[in-house]
Amino acid sequence: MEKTIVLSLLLVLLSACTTPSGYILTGNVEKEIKLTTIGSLDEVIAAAGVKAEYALVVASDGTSFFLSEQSFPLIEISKVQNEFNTRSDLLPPVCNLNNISEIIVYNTHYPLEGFYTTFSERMKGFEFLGESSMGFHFVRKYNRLDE
Amino acid sequence: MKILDVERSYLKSRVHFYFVKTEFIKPGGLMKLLRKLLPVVMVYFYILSLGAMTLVDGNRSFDVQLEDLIKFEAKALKTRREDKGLSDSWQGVLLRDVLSTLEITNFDQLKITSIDNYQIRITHQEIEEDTVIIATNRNGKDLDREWLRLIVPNKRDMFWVAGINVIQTESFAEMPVPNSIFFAEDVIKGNGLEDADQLLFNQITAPVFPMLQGEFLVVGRDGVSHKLDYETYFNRATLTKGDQGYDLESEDIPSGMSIKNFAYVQFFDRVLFFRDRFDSFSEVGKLLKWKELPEELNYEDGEVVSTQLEFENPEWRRGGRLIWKKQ
Repeated sequence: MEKTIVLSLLLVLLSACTTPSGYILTGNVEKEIKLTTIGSLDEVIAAAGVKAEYALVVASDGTSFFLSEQSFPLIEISKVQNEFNTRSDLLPPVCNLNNISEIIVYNTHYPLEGFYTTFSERMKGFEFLGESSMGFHFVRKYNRLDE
Repeated sequence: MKILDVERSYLKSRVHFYFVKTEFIKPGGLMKLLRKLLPVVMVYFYILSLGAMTLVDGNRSFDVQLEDLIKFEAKALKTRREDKGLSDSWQGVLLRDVLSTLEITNFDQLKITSIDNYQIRITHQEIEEDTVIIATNRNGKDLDREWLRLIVPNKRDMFWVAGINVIQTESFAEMPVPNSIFFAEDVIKGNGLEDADQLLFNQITAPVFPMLQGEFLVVGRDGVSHKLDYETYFNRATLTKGDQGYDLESEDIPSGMSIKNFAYVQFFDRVLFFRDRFDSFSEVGKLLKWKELPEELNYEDGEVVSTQLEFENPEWRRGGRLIWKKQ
């Protein structure tokens, strides 16, 4: 009996380790959406049934980049081992993040509370580091502030 | 300068006094000495900090004192401000001499901020071609060390920053070409604010921009523009109906920087402007010096509006976001 319990616990632990942890879609959305989708950023957001004009993509270490919808198709989210990464050859290197944990999105049609939305409130927790561009595409780099 | 010398000699005499009396070798004497000298040292550094301006070039930072400036060759010039009927004789040092001595040469423009947060930008070219000085004397009278003034003879006196605090090099931060475009009139109407004589700036920006933080470009119809941090300058800003449109003002914006006949605001690739301040989209492009213009813009529902149409055409008045699609 004891052996069975220990074995079950080991199996549970093992499956927790091998299941991709995924990342979450938050911001100006009705509720947080857990994702394990791969593909271009516009496809990933559309597949979640969300409309977004801007996105802040956040890595687990807090490194983040902010970009507008016209650049979404140029970002590819892929899964390597247990992590989700972003890559782009057509956008500045700040868009290449390992182990993303969250995508925070903005859209205009989300209700304001005072002068803020969930997105703008979340942005207060990030520090702007710089802006870079390639062609028409501009990207802003941020870093999550310590909570 | 005199105060500084007095302070230096006072400090010297105090140190000498304690050494002569050899108090510091008595038990606890060193602590006693430090405790007694601390206020003097603090006053000394406070006086040193007065009038210091900081030059920031990337990772390098230089504190520049009046004493440092007067070592440069003095430059005298006269200015006349026709609108105010004011003539002045200035004496100071050439800004380009100070910059080259500090080997600050690789920049596009300087952002100059005063001790009361007034802020202007001048280009490298203007510094090289104009006789831009840091004035230390006006009409024969020395300026207070904390009120040294930038004089840019060929530019309006709104660029003549008094009380220079920080001079910072910048590269031309090219603004992104707009992607999303909104008309201020539609936002005002959508919020039922058409009849208000005064609006909070937040009331027209919050519904449009993803965040109210970071640097926003604001432009008047006459081309006066500032790129300023939203939280520092605009959180308490208002738009007040004036003779020609709205004036952008704030307790946090020094009066010389307020914008009459406010026309345009941009953050990142998102733009909000007063359509009625312009005849056509190309006029907006001309004011903002856009290198190219789209032939058409798209509403969110896919409807298209030609940028050749003048703004009085009803096609421009459907409301909502317009998208400038790039090839």
